[in-house]
This record gives sequence, structure tokens and C-alpha cells, in this order.
Amino acid sequence: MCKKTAIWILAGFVSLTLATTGARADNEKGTAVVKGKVVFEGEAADPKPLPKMDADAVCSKAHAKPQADQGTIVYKKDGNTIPFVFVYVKSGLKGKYDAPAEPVTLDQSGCMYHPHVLGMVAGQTIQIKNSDPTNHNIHSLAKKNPQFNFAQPNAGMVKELKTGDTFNKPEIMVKIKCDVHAWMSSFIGVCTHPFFDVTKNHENDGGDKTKRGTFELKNLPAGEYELEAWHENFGTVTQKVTIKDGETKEIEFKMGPKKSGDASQKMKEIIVKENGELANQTNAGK
Amino acid sequence: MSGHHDHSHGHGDHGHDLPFWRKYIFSVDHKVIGCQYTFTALLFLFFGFTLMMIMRWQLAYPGQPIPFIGKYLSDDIAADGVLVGDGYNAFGAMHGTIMVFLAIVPLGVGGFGNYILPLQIGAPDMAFPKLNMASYWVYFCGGVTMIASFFIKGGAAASGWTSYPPLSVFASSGQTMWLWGMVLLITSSLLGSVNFIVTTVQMRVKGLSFFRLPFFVWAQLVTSFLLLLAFPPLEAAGVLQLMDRLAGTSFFMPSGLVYATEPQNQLAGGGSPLLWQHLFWFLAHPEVYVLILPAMGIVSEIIATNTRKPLWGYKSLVYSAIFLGFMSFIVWAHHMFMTGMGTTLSTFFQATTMIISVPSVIILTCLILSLYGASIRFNVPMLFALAFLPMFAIGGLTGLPLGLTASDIHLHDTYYVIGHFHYVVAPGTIFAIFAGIYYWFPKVTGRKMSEFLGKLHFWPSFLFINAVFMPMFFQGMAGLLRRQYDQTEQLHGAVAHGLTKMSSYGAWLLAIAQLPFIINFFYSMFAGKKVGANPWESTTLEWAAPSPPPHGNFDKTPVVYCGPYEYSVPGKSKDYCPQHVAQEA
Amino acid sequence: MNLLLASTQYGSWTPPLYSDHGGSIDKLVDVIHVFMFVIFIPWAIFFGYCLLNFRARPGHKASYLPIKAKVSKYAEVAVAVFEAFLLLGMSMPVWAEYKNNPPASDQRLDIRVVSQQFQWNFHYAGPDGKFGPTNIKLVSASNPIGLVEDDAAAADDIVRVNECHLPVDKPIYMRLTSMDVIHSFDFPTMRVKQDAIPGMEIPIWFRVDKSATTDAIRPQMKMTVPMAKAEWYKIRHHVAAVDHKVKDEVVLAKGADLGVDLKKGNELLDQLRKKGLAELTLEPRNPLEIVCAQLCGNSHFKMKAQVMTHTEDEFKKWVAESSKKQKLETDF
Repeated sequence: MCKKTAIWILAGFVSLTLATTGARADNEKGTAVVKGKVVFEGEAADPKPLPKMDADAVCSKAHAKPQADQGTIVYKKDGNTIPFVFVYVKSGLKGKYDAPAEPVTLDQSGCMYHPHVLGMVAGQTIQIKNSDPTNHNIHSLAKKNPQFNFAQPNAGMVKELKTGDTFNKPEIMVKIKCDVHAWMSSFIGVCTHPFFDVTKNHENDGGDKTKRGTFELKNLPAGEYELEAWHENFGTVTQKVTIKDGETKEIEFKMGPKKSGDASQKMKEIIVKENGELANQTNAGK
Repeated sequence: MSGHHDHSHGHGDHGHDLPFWRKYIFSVDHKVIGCQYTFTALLFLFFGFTLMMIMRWQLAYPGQPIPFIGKYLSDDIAADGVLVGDGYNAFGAMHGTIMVFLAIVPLGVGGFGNYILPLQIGAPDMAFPKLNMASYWVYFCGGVTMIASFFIKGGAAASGWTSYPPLSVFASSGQTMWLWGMVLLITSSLLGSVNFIVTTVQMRVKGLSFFRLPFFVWAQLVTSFLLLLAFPPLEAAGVLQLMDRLAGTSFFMPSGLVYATEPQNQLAGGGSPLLWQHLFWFLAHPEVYVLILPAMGIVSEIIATNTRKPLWGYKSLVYSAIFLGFMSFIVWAHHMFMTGMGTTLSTFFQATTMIISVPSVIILTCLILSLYGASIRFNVPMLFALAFLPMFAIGGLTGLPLGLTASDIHLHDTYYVIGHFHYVVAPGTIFAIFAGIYYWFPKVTGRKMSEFLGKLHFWPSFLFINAVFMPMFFQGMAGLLRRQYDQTEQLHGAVAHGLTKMSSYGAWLLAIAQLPFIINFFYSMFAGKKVGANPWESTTLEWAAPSPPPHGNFDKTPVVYCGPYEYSVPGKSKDYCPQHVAQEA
Repeated sequence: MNLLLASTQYGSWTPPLYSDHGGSIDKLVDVIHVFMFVIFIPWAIFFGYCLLNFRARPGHKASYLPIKAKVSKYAEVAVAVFEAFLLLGMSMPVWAEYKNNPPASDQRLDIRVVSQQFQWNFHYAGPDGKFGPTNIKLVSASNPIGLVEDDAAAADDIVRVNECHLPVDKPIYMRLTSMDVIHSFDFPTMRVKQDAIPGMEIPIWFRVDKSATTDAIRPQMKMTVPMAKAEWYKIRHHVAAVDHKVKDEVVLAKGADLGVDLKKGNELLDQLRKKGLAELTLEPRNPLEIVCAQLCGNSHFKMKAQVMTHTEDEFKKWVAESSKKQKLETDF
């Protein structure tokens, strides 16, 4: 409650300040470009396979070979670059940006989400398609935005989430899951502006392997920004960039394996051990 | 007493001069409340049946758009006219909830109990008329809450009528509405049951000792005790589940849950999903007898009247009903044999389950033996009452393999279970309810329902209801599981798909067979044949009151001289001796 | 009755049975149903007799006195005694054997079954016989049960999603649990059913018949369907058991299925009818299925695993191959 009130008051002050100092116009775009790549620091593990899809004939027919878990891919042969990283301007932008009229599309085909990671402007329409002749359900695990969980039983079904139903609040990231096919997941980055990109992967690099793991933020107005790169398994990294009109800057994000999972596991082991010893001691005492 | 109404009972506050809304809407007259219950519950019965007809489309033609109404259903229920999994589960959960808590219990107890019980004991009204009114309106609010849950985001509750956590705790907000609705419905039943018990004990007329009570009154009395004692645990459980959903407690949520690949950050954890099942079934098994006992009461009345002969073994009937009520509290865990139950506990619950079948067999035997040496009148209420007997027998017998753990391994959660309890409740209780409606319609309206339309209702209904449920035993044996949105997704469902279609066609034809009833009901209300106070030449006290009974019920407070079923007494000129008529010396 | 039985396409009450304890379950089911008919049929005859003989008609009067029915008393006692026999003689011993006498740990194969919406995860200990630890924080798309992969005990563990491999003629001891909601492990052809409850680990055990390898069962479950009666829903899990030929032209090759959805299936069936095929000879693609018997959410019906039963040697080979770390073939 207190937090919310504080945010409201803060928001009030900020808007007051913006209004009195003569903020820059809304929907402002410029000519600056920030591009670059995201690389893995150190020795990356091999990509892991997703579980076999044999239980659903429709899925297994779509893939002759086991598929890679997209969250574990690092292009070791191509400079340790990482695909499926969401890169966006975290702070530094002024003014508001309207959602584009055209929708973002999330397609379910071959029992995988296409794309695996995508970005959208808050309020933009989301179009969800089922191209598989099998039952998918689309489960949103949003924290700030609407959660939903609905099914599309047949091929060719399309659902559009508009205005009240779509994601209207900025959130990094909203996880989308199919509960029927637990390996299916997609992540949507919801920003208040259109300056975001997802690093390219082997399926959308246009045949140019050097494009893998790269991103490009175009049409930025001149200014000082904080950029963030987000990956589902490797965590987040931020960098500051100052850029002038017409300038193109290249930057590199470095990521490593996220430690939190392992750390907690060790802690848990210790707890178990201690409890075990404790139990032994009490037994001995008796 | 020369006036039409007996005001000495303190019921002057709802006489004829009351405004419309006090007389017919917020009435405290047990007869008006009984009619309100009956109308509301019949609407819910129809609604619950409609849900099932839509589900049966999906079962017969999986993944194909629902004809006619598919396009009008919301996105949460049907996508492009095709019922979706959540919609199917919501319809299934709400079909169960509506049929049990909003249709059949309110019909058997709220409707028939309210209207008939005070009349049969010669009382002018219920002991607590305002409590009675409150009971109906709380029930009404519960019903509105349930229906409203279809229109909120995410749709109605979809975790089955049993609402097992953790599924129900993870579920969308329809489940919260379901829980609020249940809290209201339980409160309503509690208010009603207290009233029934006090009324039966305190307000019997002079001469009406306990063993002169019609069996219907006994059935209602035992039912009321079941409601009074079994419902509070579920009310408590419902509140606990609400807390789990809304306040972040974890009464039913264990530690270490991973939902949709996300570890759940529970502050507490350590709850038990099985706790809910115990609390739920502690109510829900007595609930089965809440469904069936009033039906047995209705059938007994109709059989006694239309065989023109005393019921066989009246005292056995009464003792059996009491024993049934008692035993129903210690069989609940036979719904939970598959939760990992050990040998000792399962043997106890199997034993009690076998024992509880004995009083049911005795009641059925008494009713059948009542037919021997009778003079059976095959009118419409009697046809429905007679159909109840074999249908209930099938329902009861098929409970046997489910009540024994070893055979339950194969049959648990299959269509065999669905067939079993529907035989008890649908061709069983619902047929008894129809029998009751045809039987007491003249008392309520002063007019008789058409016999022709009644028979046109009975025979197709009898045929098609068996076409719906008989195949389910075979499907269950073949291993087809219940609560499957698309049965053909599994091998055992696909091989039984022919029978699924048969059930579906049965259900749709059964709906058509109800048209004569609906026409008959409204037509007879206004244009049926006018009848006197006792058209069936029956003995019990409700027939001593005028048809329809005025406020305060009896022109003259009756006095009872004999038992309830004195038919064909040798040496009498008429073949029936009403309870309120003094025996000739 | 025959019509109803035939409609289930098994030609018998129950699905085929391939476990050694299932026989006593089926026997109990049969005995109870015979008992039900023994009660119901005389009862129905008496009922019909009463309705006919004691119908109201001119000149017929009801008698006030009840019949003296000693028969009913005897019948009730007989029913009670027989129920006691069913309980103590048939049901309880099966249950007690099943619950109280699990096979010794060195004679059985242990499998952990971790259920989740909407899949069955099977966790095998691998050749070392030790299960690796799990941690819910490690759960991901490629690690469904959160196995701690760098632990020594986990190195040779096998985790399979919706795919269960079993040896025949060896006690199989499964420990069931759930990650999210209550599921129910149902293996109808083995007569095994047990709820999988989060926060609990519940053991079950059974033994697959010696002759019941998947490859041996599949041809046993062969069936022929006349083209006129072929309906996609009923045969969607079947594949052609032989090459279907019309005038020496193969129209449906052995092993081919009948389309992935209704539309494609109906198109295929129409084509086959046009080509003049008279009947289909089919066998199930996966004759053994594990399904979920407890409502677990919107895709509950989709929750099923296919089971492959092997001879002991084949199974050992499978374990040895599967326990090696699989390297994913990729072009990057």
C-alpha cells in the first residue's frame, strides 16, 4: 500500500517536472543506431536436447531429430555468441510512445513457439495462432500483466488479444507456456517504447552466420541511455551508452552462466546435512 | 371456527391483505417458499442438463463446432464455436454443482420438504417461518453467484465439483466465486435443516406419534440431521480453501510445488491436499443420502397410495432410514481408495460400505414386497415411482465393485462410476421427483396434470435415460476414464467411441422427451382438470387440507387416529381410512 | 448386450490384461457381476410378476395383510454373507498382498514417476542403481524434473518424458509423486491405478507378464474394420498391420497411420474407399498406454505416456545406451 502511494506521488512529481520543464515531444525518433552482439564469457556447455515429442504424433512428425533447448544454445563455432537475448533501452528515453497499430504474432507450429523470444510495445495487439492440428494451450505467467490460460484445439485458430486483454504494463519478461507440451515456452518483453531487439539465431540469420547473436536498435534519438540484455538462463547485463544524432555505436554484452540455481542447491544440501547430523545427535542422546 | 383462516397460530402477519411482494416474493408461508424452491430448482435442473448436452456434443464429435449455440459462447468456453478444454471442465464442474446443490437437494428438501412436511404433520407452517424465508433467499444468492461465475474473466470453476486442491487453488477466479457460492448454499441448507427438525419434533398434531408419521416425514427428518451434521465441515473446508486462494495460506498446499515449470515461492507450504478430500467427502457421502432419502420418501407415499395397501414393514423402513443416516457418516473414505490407503483403513471403509448396502436393500425389499397382493393403479406418478425401483437397484448394485478396493483399482474414475451414481440420482432421484410433482400437483394447484401427456413424458424418458447411462458401465469396464475432454485421445476411449455416441444421442432425445412435461406443467396449471381435496383417495394428512391449502393450511386443526397407510382395511366400506378420520366403533 | 460389448471393440468386458496380479482383480469384477445378475434377475421377475398379477382391475381387491416373506429375510442374510465373502475372501487379500508385500529392493526395478501438467516424467537410476538428487529450482524445458546433473549419482540417470520402458517378468516398483496438482497413474492393461499427490511419494508395484513385450502384443491386438464402418475417431491410434492392396497396388502401406486429424483422416478414408478398399486391418500404434485418471486441468485428456515392454536383455541394452550422455546433433 505504502509502496503504491509512494509510486503515485513520485509519478505525480515526475509528470509535473516533465510538464514544467517542457519535455521532448512524444513518439520522438532519431537517427542514431546502437548495434552489437552478445557473447558468452568462458567455456559454454553444449546445447541440451528437448524431451522427445513422441507422445503427440503431430509433434513428432514435425521434427525428425531431437530439438535443442533454445535457452541453452551458444554458437561456439561463431564466436560464442548467444541467440534469443532480448536487448532493450532500460532508461534514458523521454516522452511517451504509442503502440503500433499492427499486431505482434506468436505462432505455434511444429509444437514450438515462433518466435521463442519477442518484444512488443505495451498495449500492442498480440495475435496468437495455432498452425498445428493438435490441441495447444497458451498459458501466460505474467506478474504485472494479465495472466491467461486458454486452449486452441484446432489448426488455423487465431486469437487476438486487444486493448484490455493484451499486456499494457512494461514487464521484462512475460513467460508464455504450453502446458500440454511442457517444452514449449516463449518470452515476451513488454516495453514502453519501440527500441528493442532480439539477437538473431540460426533460423533467422538469413544464411549469414556472422549475424548470429547480433542485435540492432535503430532510430534512437540522441541521448544517454542504459541498455539491458536479458537471457532466460544467463540472467541480465546492463551497459551505458551516450549517442549523438546520426551516430552508429557498436557495443558487446558479455554473459556468463547464472549462478543462483547452483548456489541455492548447495545451500539446500548443507541444510539437509545439518539436519541429518542434528537428527543423529538427538538419537545418540537418547 | 367459522372463518376461512385459522389466525390463532400467530400467522396473521401474512394474510390475504399483504402486498404482492410480501405474499409471493418475500413470503414466509412454507407453501410459497416450497413453490419458489421448486421453480428455481427446476430452472437449475434444466440449465444443468443443457450444460451436459453441450458437453455430450464435444464427446460425440470431438473438436467440431457446436451447432446452433457454439458461436454465442464466450471465448473462454468455446473458440470458433469449438468447446475448449477449460470450457468443458467448467461445464462439467458446474453440471455437478448445479445438479447436486442447486437442483436436486433444493427440489427434494427445499421444495417437497417445505411444502409437504408441515401438511403431513398437520402443522399450520414451519416452526420458524422467517428462517425459512432466509433459507430460500440465501440459496437464491448462492445460485446467482454460481451463474454469475460463467460471465467473469476466465469462466466458471473448472476443477470438478469436488474441487480438489492444489488444482483448485491454482485455478482462475471462477473458483473463488464457486467457493463463495458454496458457503451461501451450505448456510441455506443449515437454516433449512434446523427448521425441519424443530418443526417435525414440535409441531405434530394431536395423535400423530412418531410411528404414525408418514415415511416421507421420516426421510426428511433423517435428511435434515445429515445436512445439519455433515455440512459444517465442508463450510469450514470451503473457507480454508478461500484463504489458500486469497490470503496466501497453505492449508491444502504442500511445500516444493512447481507450477508450469516455475517453483512456487510459498511462504508456508506444508499443507496437505488430502485434508481437503477428507473434509469434502465427509460431507459429500452423507450428501448422497440427502439426495436419495427424500426420493425414497416420495416413492413410498406414492406406492402406498397406488397399491391400495399398507407399506410392507413400515418399522423396518424407518429403522433402515435412521441406520442409513448414521452409517453414511463413516463410509466417506471409499471415495479415496486410490490415494494410497493402507490395508487396515481400506478394510474398515470397505466393511462399512458393505454394511451400508444392507439398509438400502431392506428399504428396496419393503417397497417391492408392498406390491404383492396389491391392487396397482398405473397412473403417471405410480409409473415414475415404479421405475425408480429397478433403476435404484441397478445404481445400488453397481456400487458393489466400486466399494471393494481390488475391483475399484480397475473401475475407479472410469465411466462405470458415472453410470453408477447417475443411476442412483438421475433415473433414481429425478424420476422420484417427477413422480412427486405429478402426485402433489393437484394439492398445490387444485388441478390435475394430464395423464396422456404424462405418459408421453414417462415412456420416452424411461427409454432414453437408460440409453444415456447403460453404455457407461460397458465403457467403464473397457477402461474409459471420466472427465475427458476428448475421449478418443486415448486408446481405451477411442475403442469405446461408438457407445459414447449412443449416450449422446440418448441425452439429446431425453431432452426432447421433456417437452410434454413442460407443456403439461404450464397447461395444467391453468387449464387442468379441477379436483377436490383428495383426488388420489389417500390417507395422509396433506389430503385433509383443501386444494390448494389456504394460509394456515387446515380449515380445522386435524386430530390423528391411526397410522399413515390404512388402505383396504377389511370390513370398511371405502378402501382407505384417512389418518384424521376417527375409526368407526 | 453383445452389441454393447462389440462397441468397445475389445470383444470382452475389460481391456486385455498383461500383468500377473490383474487376474485376481478381473476375477473379482466377474464374480461381482455374476452376483449382481443372480440378485437382479429373480428380483426383476418377481417385480414383473407383481405388476402384472396385482394390477388394478374390476373385481380385484388389495389385501390388507402383508405377505409373510421369510424368503426376503433369507435373501437379505445371503446377500450380507456373500458381501462379507467378497470383502474378506477376495478384495482384502488382493489389496493386502499389493500393499503389504512389496518385492525386496534387490529383486525389483525402481522407477521414480514425477507427474506434472500434463506429462509423465520417468526417472531411472541407470546402471549404478542410484537416483541423482533433484532441485525444483533447476526445472527447465530440457530438464523437466530438475535433476542436479553435475552430481555423481545423476551422471548415468535416465529421464524420459511420456515414454516408459519396462522389462517383462520382473517386479517393477514405481514411486509416484507430482510437481503441481493431483494426478492419477492409470495403466489399464496392467490393472494399475494410483493417485500421484504433490508432497507425497506413494509406491506401487506390478509385474508384466513374461510374454507381454510390446512387439508381441501389437499383433495380438489386431482388428479388421470394414471400410463402411471405418470412423476416424475410433481408429486414430491405429496403424495398418499389413500392406493394403487393391489390384496389386499398395494403397496403404504397413505401418502407415490414418491421418493426424479428423480432416486429413476423413480425406484419406475417402480416398481409400474410392480406390475400392474393402476393409482395414489395423493394430494399435502404442498398445500400452499410461493415462491420467484424475482431473488435472484443461489438457488432462492429453496426459498420456506410451509404454514399451522389453525382454530383460533388451531392457538392459536400452538402459546402457540411454544412460550415456546424449550429444545433440546440430549444425552450429
